[in-house]
Amino acid sequence: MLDVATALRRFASAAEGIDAERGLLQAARAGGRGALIWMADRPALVAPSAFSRLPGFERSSAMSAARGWPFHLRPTGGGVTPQGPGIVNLALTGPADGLTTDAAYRGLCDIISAALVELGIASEPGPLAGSFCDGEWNLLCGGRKIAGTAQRWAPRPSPNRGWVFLAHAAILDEVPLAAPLAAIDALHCELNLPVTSGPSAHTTVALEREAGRGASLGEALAGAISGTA
Amino acid sequence: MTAITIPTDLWEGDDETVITSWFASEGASVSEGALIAEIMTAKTQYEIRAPASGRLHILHDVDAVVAKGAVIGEVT
Repeated sequence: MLDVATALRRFASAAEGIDAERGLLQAARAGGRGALIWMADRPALVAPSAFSRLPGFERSSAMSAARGWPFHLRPTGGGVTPQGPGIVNLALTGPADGLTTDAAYRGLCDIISAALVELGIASEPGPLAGSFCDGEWNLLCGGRKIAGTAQRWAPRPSPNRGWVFLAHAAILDEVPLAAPLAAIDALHCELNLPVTSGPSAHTTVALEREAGRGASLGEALAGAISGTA
Repeated sequence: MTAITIPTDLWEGDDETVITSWFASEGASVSEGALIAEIMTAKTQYEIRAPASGRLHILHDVDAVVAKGAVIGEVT
């Protein structure tokens, strides 16, 4: 059974949203399927837990927090991603049932693309050097990144066989791009990681949507999920 | 001895994977099903759980790049 939270859920912090996603993955280990659309009320940067092993992580994390961008670790892979007002997250979980990671990415991107079409936006998956948390399964709009994706997979507990997945996307909905990208670049500099190409490599739903399309991104995502359930 | 093996059927293609964490130390006692390591490919983090209870022997450390099917550790 698909447990879909069709309304955009607001969390005070990105850490709370990440915890909710962990809960969905745990439920998937027991056989459940779920979807969650959420947004954090306060800005933050999130990255895989392996970042905590990078030299200077503690100091860089504290400096990022002092700049207004507290740093949280997340269970999915990839790189540093912004969170906060105007950034909508979609999390899908369930038994993999023979899916591959690529198929799960494809399914996630198909749902987001369908939602964006409802807002008059054409998108396609692909890599984009210089975008934050770059990967093969970004969603691009006119050559600019509008969403990033990542996943976590876990084996189902015995006596079950197979795996469960959490497929996650962070979608740039209605957010001024300069501040979050500057926050990522400042953290990257402190951790000796490459900086992004800045706002020119990114776009938002607010910048791309057709005038007169009344639905919110959250509503469009909920509709697209329902269409595939 | 039970091998801890990188799964072969989770992602398409022959991409290698990187070991991003060991949550148990060399020689530590582990329980079957416990989360003992994580690997990452294409921005996906995969959990590696102990295939048996016993003592962990690590064959590849964190940051090692390994292929599908590679044995990265053993439980004895």
